[in-house]
Amino acid sequence: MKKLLIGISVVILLAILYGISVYNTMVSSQQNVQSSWAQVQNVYQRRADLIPNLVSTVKAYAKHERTTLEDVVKARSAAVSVPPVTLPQDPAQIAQLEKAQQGLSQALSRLMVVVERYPDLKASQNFMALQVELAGTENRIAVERRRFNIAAQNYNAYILRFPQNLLASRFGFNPVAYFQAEPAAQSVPKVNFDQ
Amino acid sequence: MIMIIKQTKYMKFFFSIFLIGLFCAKAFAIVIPSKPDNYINDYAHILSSSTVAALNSTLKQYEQKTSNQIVVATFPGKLDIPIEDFSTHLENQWKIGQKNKDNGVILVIFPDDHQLRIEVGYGLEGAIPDALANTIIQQEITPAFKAGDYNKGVTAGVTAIMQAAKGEYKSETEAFSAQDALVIFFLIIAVLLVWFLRKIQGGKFPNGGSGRWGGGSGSSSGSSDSFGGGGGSSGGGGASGRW
Repeated sequence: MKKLLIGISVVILLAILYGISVYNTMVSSQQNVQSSWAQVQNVYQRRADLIPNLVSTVKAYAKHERTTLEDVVKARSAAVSVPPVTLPQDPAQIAQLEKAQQGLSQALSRLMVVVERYPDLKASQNFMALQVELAGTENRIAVERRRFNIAAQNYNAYILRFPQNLLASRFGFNPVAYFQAEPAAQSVPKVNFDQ
Repeated sequence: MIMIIKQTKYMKFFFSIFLIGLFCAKAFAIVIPSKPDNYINDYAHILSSSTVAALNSTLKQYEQKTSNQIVVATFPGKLDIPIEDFSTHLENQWKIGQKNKDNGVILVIFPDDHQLRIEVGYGLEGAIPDALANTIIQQEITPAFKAGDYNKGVTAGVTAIMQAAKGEYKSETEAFSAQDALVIFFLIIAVLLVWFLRKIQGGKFPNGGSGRWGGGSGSSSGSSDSFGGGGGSSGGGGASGRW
C-alpha cells in the first residue's frame, strides 16, 4: 500500500515537473516572439520618424510636388495610427499593419521617383543622409520581419505539437499570426567560390 | 527575483540566436563559409599578405582593448541577391561581436561585383549610424578601390570603423558587473543562513544540504587570446556601396 502510494506520488511529481518545463518553454518562446514583434514595430516607427524630416527637406527644393508630399504625410499618419498590439494573434492585425505600411512604402517610392527631377535636392547633404537612413531602415524592416516570422513559426510549432497542445490552450498560449514572407527571404544566396 | 528576470532575458536571447542560427544553417550551409578564425578573411585574394597580417594583429589588439569585433570578408564571384541580404545571412552565421553587446562590424566586399557593405551590429548602431557607415564607404574605401588599391581601401576603412566604434564599449576584464555583486550578495546571505540554522538547531545541522544553486549564469566571455566571442547579432544596420 505504501509502495503504491509512493509510486503514484512519484508519477504525479514527474507530471508536474513536465508541466512546469513545458510551461517555461512556452513562456520563453512567447517572450521571444514578443520581443521580435516589438522590434518589427520599432523599425516601422523608425521609418515613420524619418518622414517629417524627409518631407521638409524635399519641400525646400520641390515646392510644386504638393500632392506627392501630402500623400506621404497622409500615408504616414495612417501607418502611425494603427493601434499597437503586444502579440499579433489575429491575422487581421497583421494585415492591418501590413496594409498601412505598404501604403507608406508606395507613397515613399512615388516621392523618390519625383525627386529625380530635382538635381539640387539630390545633391544636398541633408537629403543624401536621409536617403541612406531610409535605405538602412528598409533593410532593418526586412531583417526584423524575417526574424519575427522565424520566432513566430517556432513558437507555433511548439505549442501546436502533441502533447504540448493539450497544455497550451489550458495555459492560455494561442498561436500567433505572421507576415507573408517576401520573395527575397526565400532565395538562397549563391556565391561562386571558383574564380 | 532580479536573477530570474535576468535569466529569462538571457534565455530569450539565446533562443532567438539559436533559432536564427538553426534556420540559416539549414538554408545556407553550402554557400556561406563557417565562422572563421581570423579577422581578415580574404576569400577573393585581393589583399597582400602583409596587409592581412597587419590588420589581423591590429584588430586583435583592438578587440582586447574595446571588445568590439571588426571582421573583413572578401568574396569572389557575382552575387545574385542584394548584398544586404547576404550580409545578414553572413552575420547570422558568424555572429560577430560579443554576446549581449552585439558590438560587431563586418566589412563585406565583392570585388568582381564592385559591391561592398558595412554591416553594423545592434550594439554599435549608435556609434556607427548608417550615414557614417556610408561616409566611410564613400570617402575612405571606394576612392582607393576605384584606383585598384584594395589594400589601401580596406586599411583606411577598418581604421575609420575602429575610430568610430572606439569608446562605445570597454573590455570587461576589469569591470565589476552588477551580476557579480548579486552573486556575492547571495553567497553572503547563504553563509549567514547556514550559520543561523546551525545555531537554532543546536549544531545538529547535517553536512551537505541537498539545496542546489541554480542561476547565476555568469559566463564571462573572456575572448583573451584567439578569435573568440561570438553571439552578437545585427538588425541590418550599416550601409552599402558600389564603385
